[in-house]
Amino acid sequence: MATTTVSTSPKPGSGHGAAGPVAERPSPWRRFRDPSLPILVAVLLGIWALTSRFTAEYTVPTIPSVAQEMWSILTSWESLRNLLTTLARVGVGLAAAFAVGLALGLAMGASSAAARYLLPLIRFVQGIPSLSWVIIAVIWFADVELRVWFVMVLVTLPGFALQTYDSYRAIPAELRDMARSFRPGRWALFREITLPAITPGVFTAWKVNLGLGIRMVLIAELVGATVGVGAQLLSAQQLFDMASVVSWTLLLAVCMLIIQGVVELLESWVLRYRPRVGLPSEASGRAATSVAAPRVEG
Amino acid sequence: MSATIIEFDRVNKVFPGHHAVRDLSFGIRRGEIVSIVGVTGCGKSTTFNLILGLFPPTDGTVRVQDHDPHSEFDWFRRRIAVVFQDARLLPWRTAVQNVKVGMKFAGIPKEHWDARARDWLSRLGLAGREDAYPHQLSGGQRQRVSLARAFAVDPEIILCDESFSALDEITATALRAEFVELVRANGKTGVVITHSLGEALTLGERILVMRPPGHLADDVAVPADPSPEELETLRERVLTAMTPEAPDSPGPVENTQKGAV
Repeated sequence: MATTTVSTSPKPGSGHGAAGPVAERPSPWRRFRDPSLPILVAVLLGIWALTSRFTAEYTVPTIPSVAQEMWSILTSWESLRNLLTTLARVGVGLAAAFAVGLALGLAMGASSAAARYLLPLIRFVQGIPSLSWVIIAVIWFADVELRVWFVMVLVTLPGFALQTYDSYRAIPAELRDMARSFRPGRWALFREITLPAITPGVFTAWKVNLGLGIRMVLIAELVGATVGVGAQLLSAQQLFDMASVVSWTLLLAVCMLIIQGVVELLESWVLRYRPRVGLPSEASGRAATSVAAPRVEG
Repeated sequence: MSATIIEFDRVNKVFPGHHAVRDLSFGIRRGEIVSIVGVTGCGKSTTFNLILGLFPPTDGTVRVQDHDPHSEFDWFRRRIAVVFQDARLLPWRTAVQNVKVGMKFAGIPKEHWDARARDWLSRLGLAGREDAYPHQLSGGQRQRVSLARAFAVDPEIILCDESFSALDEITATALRAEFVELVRANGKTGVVITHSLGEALTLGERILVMRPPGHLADDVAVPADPSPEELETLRERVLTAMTPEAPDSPGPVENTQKGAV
């Protein structure tokens, strides 16, 4: 490479000192220092305790009976297996839906012909009620795991596919032109432009689909499954065991919150390049840039 | 190797309902810094994209380094780099990573990326800011990263598309001077598209004046160290040529194949 005589002293616009040092991101644990969450939990527990004193056990169970039931679930491998099985079904179903949805979304983004055929189909699938898929799965498949997997994939796949497609389309043309001016290979272009650009959308799809997946897996498990939280809920309903219903529900909800928290932590690490929302850019004091599009300015 | 590195020979480019470039002929010699100036809609950007090979001419011949930039698009990998009006940095990459990405796209072996990227950032006054993300840099700093990304590929031709027009005047003036120095010191050929006459006079050793509908109105050589009177004369000449109703300058277009007027 040729040498040059250009000096390295500070120059106008090089802005030594113009843009401050990189600010530390706030701790992801800051939410736990917020007193509003314990206050909210305390209020809800208070209302629950009060209500349970004036109602029958099978309507609103007492807090101690639910706590005892939860403890027995967590300390019994047989019970815990139900919870883990349900979570595994969610994980496997979402992973499959993610893989297929990502591929479909990318195909639609890269090819308008693919989008013309696939987009109406995916939107049609998205419009089919979840319960219809459950009934179809029961008729089509004898195997319970296959039923659950089928329902999970069909219900969550449109979210992944459409979010990926939208994120792909939102990639700024300026970035593509910039990349193209260097004559990159396909893989380099995908790795450096497409993949990072669709990542925020993919995280959004995961967060939305996690909640949807948890809700769907219970419905799917209600039909034919002998293991899993759905099966345990059905059993508890038949016995009018409200403490058990609440316990399983709470455990699943807590698991869901933990998984959501892990996904958010992962998201904030992967997308750590993003300026914090609501704060001005460090360099110029102007509003924060969008995630996908670089700011066009001087 | 031909002294003419970019050559347009009676090039026409027609888009549906719009004749963007009409019978455009000029040549740019190796090592020159040439400004292409003109009013909005005069065909500057189309000319830029034709040099870059983003689309073929409708008629005529475009040759860059004796190759067709459109049909031999990949041949120009590492031979042409572009500095755009906005820096076009990847927001998910730091300054040094953005420079490396250019080298990655251009197919430069990985072992060279880090040292070369840091070296160019340092040359452009960004030592210590290598790990800053684009949103943590000022507009001038981002454009410096963009320049570093282009020079790090070590291309033979550097195209600038209004690269300094969005910056404040002090930063733009400094960057223009650095750009000229870097192009000369490294033996590159620089082509600068601009609508600013002042910028064209500052940057170019030669100014190609374009006028709607996409043809060359004048080809002006800029002396190395022009006096104020010479500058004023040049300014008036270019301004006149840029004006749509002005007659084309007699003669210089033919001469451009051999050199500046």
